[in-house]
Amino acid sequence: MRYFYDRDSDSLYLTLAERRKYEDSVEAAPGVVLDFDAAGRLIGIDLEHASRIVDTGNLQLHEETSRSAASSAKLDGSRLKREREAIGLTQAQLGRELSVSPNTIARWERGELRIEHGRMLDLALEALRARMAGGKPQRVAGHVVRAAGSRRSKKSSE
Amino acid sequence: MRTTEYFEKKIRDRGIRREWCQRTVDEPVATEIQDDGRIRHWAYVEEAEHFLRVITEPDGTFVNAFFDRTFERRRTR
Repeated sequence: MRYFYDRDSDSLYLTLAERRKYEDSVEAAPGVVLDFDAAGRLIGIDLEHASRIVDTGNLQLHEETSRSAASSAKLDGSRLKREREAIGLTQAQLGRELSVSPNTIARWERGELRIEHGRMLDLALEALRARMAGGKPQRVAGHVVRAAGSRRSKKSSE
Repeated sequence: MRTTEYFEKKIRDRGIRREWCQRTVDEPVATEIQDDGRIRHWAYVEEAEHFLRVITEPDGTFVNAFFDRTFERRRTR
């Protein structure tokens, strides 16, 4: 996605789909024009007097990360290690709780193996923390957290 | 023909010819003055089979142009 801003005319154009051929436009609101391709797909947005709508002095496109994506992104190997040690578990113990091998835990922590379901692993760690803090036994859904290519985790999910 | 950088880019991206824009301003089927003083001009472009809207500043500078489906609907009502 790209934008083009012309300060002289105060016009801003947001290109949503670059390779599609323009067909025609619809004025959705005064000064807000939507561009479409021949199949009726939206390809761009044209804003007249853009500075009345957006802060044209600081134009930047930022990705707003979804909750699940943010969670996955945050849970990297080093945080997993920190969390595990804070809970007071060895790699082997955490592996048993999650139904994955200690080797998988070690590879996650070293960053050699991608953590596929960060959000689920986060939930499992949260449950383990609560159990350790409260002293109550609580089932950790280890079968939902599995490493790609991990035989043991695959077996446990079947 | 005085134009803005935005106009030049948009007619290039949208495949709109400069002569169509000039013709629309010279022989419009409708015009409207916006609250900001800019002027909207419409004309039918046979070659493209669409109504073209051209927006100019009061001094005649070309600001924007696009094929206006909204105007086509308005005309058929």
